[in-house]
Amino acid sequence: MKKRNLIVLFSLAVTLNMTAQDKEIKPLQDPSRAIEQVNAFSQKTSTITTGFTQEKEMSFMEEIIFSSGKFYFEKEKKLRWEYTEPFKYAIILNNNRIRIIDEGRNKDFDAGSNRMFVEISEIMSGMVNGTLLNSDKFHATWYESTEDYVVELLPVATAMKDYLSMIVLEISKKDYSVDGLKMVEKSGDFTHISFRNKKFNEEIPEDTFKVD
Amino acid sequence: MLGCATGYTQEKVTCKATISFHGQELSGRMMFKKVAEDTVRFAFFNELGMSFVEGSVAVRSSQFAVRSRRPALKAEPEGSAVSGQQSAVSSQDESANGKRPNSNLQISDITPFLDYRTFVKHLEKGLVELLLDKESGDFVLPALTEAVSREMVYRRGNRFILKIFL
Repeated sequence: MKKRNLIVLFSLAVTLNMTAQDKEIKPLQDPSRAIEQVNAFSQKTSTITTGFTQEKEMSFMEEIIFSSGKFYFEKEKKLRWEYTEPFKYAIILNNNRIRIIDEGRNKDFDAGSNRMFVEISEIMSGMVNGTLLNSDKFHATWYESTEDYVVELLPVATAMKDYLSMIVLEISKKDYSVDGLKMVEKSGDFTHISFRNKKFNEEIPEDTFKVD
Repeated sequence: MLGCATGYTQEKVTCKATISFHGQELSGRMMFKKVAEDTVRFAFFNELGMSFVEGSVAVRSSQFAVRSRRPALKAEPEGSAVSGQQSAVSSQDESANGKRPNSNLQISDITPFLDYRTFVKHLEKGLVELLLDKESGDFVLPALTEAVSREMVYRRGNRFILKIFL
């Protein structure tokens, strides 16, 4: 079977699977209790270490790109988003400094000089801090499935709308941490990140967030 | 035929790349994919999964076009919006008339980081040949001069730079 057909079949399978999951999702009439629980989780969580897998759908290229890596977070504003496959790439946010490590080459700059990375970093950090759900940058609509709360975040600011039409957070009903994150672009293409092997409040070596 | 003329042996390549657009610079990944004998599609996206440019380089029976399917970045000089559907035709017309093209998007430092190095090795040659119109004599648009073509695609060390006109 040709590779293109395989991709089409895979896309169809993913779509059917998502459709099946979507059917189980229903609106959450009163999200206040869920918000409280997420905020409580955020309050008591000082560090997160988790692996992740990422799928990026590129309809124009008829490709789905897979990547994976590790994610580290430490309150208040330390974050390391590290890809290990298929290439080595890391973004480190340490307060107002950002380091990008691209195939072993470091590049440091102020957070203010790269708004997009800051926005994304703040989204990730904000989830743990509990600030994202209360952020005026997004309009949140809550849903639930048997396992997760699903929050659709529609950007309010025009600048962010240029990049993203929606962010979907999947929040575990077990521990109120983020199970998954889906960034939907204006074109409809999306990037889905699934977190696995999450560990909370374990000490993270300071070097993990090292930025000159 | 792009593929035959340039000796492509693979259909897809993913590269590291940097795009410059009105002074803004973004590093990311560039994918080229041969989707037909005469068409190569490309996309630039960052590691976090956001796409900024998608387009195709095509030799059809009657025209050559580099098209951007999406606006690369928002800003355009003099405040006018960038159309995601604009082609390079006007810029090429200027080029063909001896004027320097208005290169408002430059994709540079394209280096392979995955497989298919043979594809990349020949991509520069292939793109230049497209621009030079060596393969087909019946294009509606006149072929670019070699100097302009070389300016659109040129090599820096083991890297090459592709300028795309939006």
